[in-house]
Amino acid sequence: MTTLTKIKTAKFFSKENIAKAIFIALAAFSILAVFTIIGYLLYASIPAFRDIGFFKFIFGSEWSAKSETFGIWRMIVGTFFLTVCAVLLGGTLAVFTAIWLVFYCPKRLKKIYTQIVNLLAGIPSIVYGLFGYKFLMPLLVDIFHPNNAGFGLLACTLILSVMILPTITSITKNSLEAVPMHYYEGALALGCSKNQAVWKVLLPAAKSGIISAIILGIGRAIGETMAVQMIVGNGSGYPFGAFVPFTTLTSNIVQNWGYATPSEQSALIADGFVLLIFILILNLCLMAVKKDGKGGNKFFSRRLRESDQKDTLKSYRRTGSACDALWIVSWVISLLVAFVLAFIVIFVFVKGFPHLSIDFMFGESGNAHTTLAPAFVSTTMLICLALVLALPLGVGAAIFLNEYAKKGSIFVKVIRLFVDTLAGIPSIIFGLFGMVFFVIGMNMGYSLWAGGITLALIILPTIIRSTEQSLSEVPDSMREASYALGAGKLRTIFVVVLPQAITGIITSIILSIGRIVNESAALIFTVGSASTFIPQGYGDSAASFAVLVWKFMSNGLQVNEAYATASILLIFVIILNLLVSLVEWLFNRRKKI
Amino acid sequence: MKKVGKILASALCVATLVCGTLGAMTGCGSKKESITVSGSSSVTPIMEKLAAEYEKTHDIRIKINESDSSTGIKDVQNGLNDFGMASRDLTEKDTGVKGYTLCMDGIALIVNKSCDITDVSKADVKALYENGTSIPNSSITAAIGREAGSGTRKAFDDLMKIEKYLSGTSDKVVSEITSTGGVKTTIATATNSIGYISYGSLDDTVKAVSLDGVACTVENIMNNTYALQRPFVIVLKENGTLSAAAQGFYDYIMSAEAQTVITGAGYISVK
Repeated sequence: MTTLTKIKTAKFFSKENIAKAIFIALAAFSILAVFTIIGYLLYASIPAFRDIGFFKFIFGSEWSAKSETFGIWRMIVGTFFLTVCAVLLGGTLAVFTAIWLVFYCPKRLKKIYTQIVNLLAGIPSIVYGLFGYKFLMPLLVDIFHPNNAGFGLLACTLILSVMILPTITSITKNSLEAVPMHYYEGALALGCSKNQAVWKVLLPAAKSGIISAIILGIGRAIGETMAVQMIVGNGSGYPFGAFVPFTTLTSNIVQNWGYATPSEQSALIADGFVLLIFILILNLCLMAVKKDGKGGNKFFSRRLRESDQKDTLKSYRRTGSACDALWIVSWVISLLVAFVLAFIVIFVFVKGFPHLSIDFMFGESGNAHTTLAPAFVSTTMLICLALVLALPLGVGAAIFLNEYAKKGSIFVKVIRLFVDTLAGIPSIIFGLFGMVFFVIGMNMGYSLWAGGITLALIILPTIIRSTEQSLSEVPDSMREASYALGAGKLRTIFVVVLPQAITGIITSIILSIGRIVNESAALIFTVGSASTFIPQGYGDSAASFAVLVWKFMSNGLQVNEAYATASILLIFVIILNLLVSLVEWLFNRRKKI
Repeated sequence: MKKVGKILASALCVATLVCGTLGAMTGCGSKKESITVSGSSSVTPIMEKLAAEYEKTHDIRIKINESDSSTGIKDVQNGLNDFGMASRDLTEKDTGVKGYTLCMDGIALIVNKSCDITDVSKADVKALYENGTSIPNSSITAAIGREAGSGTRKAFDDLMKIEKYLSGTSDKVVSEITSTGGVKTTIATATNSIGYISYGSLDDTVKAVSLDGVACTVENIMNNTYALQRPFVIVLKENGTLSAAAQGFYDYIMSAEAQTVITGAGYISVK
């Protein structure tokens, strides 16, 4: 080897290059994860498609383990109907709420109301399920006197629309806020009233953002599992009435997995795969909408004809009162949303607090007397494992995306696409994947290992996005100053940039903890529901709080304990929400100094 | 930078605290021997009682994973537990396992406490589950069933000769719930539904109705006049041996001493 090549190889294997390669690898992990999930679920569902036949599986309307016929047409129809109803109701409520929040909310209330929306997003789906099952269903029976216990489309739609509301509200809010101020000022200058400016100018201007919000809402509605499973009734009906017990793609999996024979298991995985395909299609739609949104706004780039002007003038005058009516509606709806949140929280607290005792929370747990002590330990263990795995991956990926990648390169776009895809996959799919890949495939059994790794995949997108966001907020001048002082890229990143972005990372950790605490569907499939003993290690099966609520519920004997556990969950969620605000507040204060 | 340091330091403190607590909590649980039992949600309540009794006198932890009969049997076949629980007789499909009857259990038909109805006929119940025909002269218009893998459902369907639950687009389509407790909680609030649960899980939150004039009681189950009954079966590996700890617990639950616990809980002893 000549000296030249030696120097070249040394240069090639320099610290900087190795680090770069590592960051690229970390960033590419999301792509790998998405492909593994899709590929493995496809692989595991091939037997079903082969044995049953693809068309028979999709369009067959009977699901029976007895006769080994599996068709998911009923579930597809069920999911479709439920999603349409929930998005119509939830979407309308959410858009009105967002408009109110941005344009009509009194300044002092704004922060509080944003907290309310965040809290609504943070309530675990199992708690929504509990609320729907124990409060909403009996209420509906009292009002409508159906022939059954209140299961079915109406109850599900109501619960689900509240569940997807925060997603749609917060994204709509962002896009409304992104509409340039001069649109509003221009409208006022042309003689519009405030209400007219809001409804006829600003709302259409935020159209593409609202459409992406709705698409995300659809994704959330399709993937929702535990809450739906509890109130949908799981009967073999079609949802063409408000109270027909029917089944959705997600509830079918939870309902039938436990006792499935190998052929039924494969059919259930295929069920999950079909669900995944729907989600992937939605993601592509989302991408298309986003692209469309970049090229300016169609509403405003439309050329006006002269006759148009006259008509518009008239219609503006005419719609004045309609806009005022909408203004009132938005007030009513947003008050209603706040009321619903308050009601759910108070309902759970009132039912739960009387049954919370020190003994129930921390006492020694055994077969005679189950306490929450094991759940404290197992939830903490899950949080630790998932964070240890996902934090380096996520922060590394974010560093690559923000510090190394060329802005707008195809590779970055692809990675972003896959991170978004990963974020859109419903937790039941993660659960199925964790089940077939870790629990069965890698022989881990129901264990905290399998659950922690699955959770790491679930929280990865949150960490990447949040970290990337705060990295991009670090001013370039700091990097330049660091380079000018002779620091290398790696040193700059770790000594200068990362400490600046620490708020984002801490926020992402808190958000991830929230996600983990909320998770139930994925954990039931990977960690199992053993709840009696404190786990001795990561090889044990142990229920987290959310899973415990589900278990107490299905035990039937322990509804009070379910409420008590749910109220602890809610306390966690409230604390985590406050922590996020606290971190932001600390950061902002520091910025001012 | 100072503030960053502060935040980092506090984050670190929290992390150490959490890990410390975790370590302490994990450490204090001494390494007891443990055995795992898994299967039917109908058998779980009595198994929990037996385990609680046994743990009083023996230094052992018994983990009970509640799922359903088929999973319990599958876990035995795959070696995932020490023994399984099933609430139905084993069939020829369940290969490589053998079963021992722990006790007998009735399946009680239950309605809301506010319902006037006290007796139903077999034909009416069958018609309700299969065709959605409301039970005559009563407020009962809908049926609640269990999921397809449930041992209780299998026994119920077989004994009642129910072929297939109603499907379609009416609100009388049978709702399927994944656990004994779920059925009970639903019935406890719904005044228009009937469901079925294990007799041993029956309590005063719901009301049991008699079938064709025969009440669901221990005597009627023992002398076979009450038709809805099925065995609780302990499932073992056909050619395997139990660990010493598991053997000890197995011997206990099959003992006369355990049978008093079983009968005390409302199940029917077969010894």
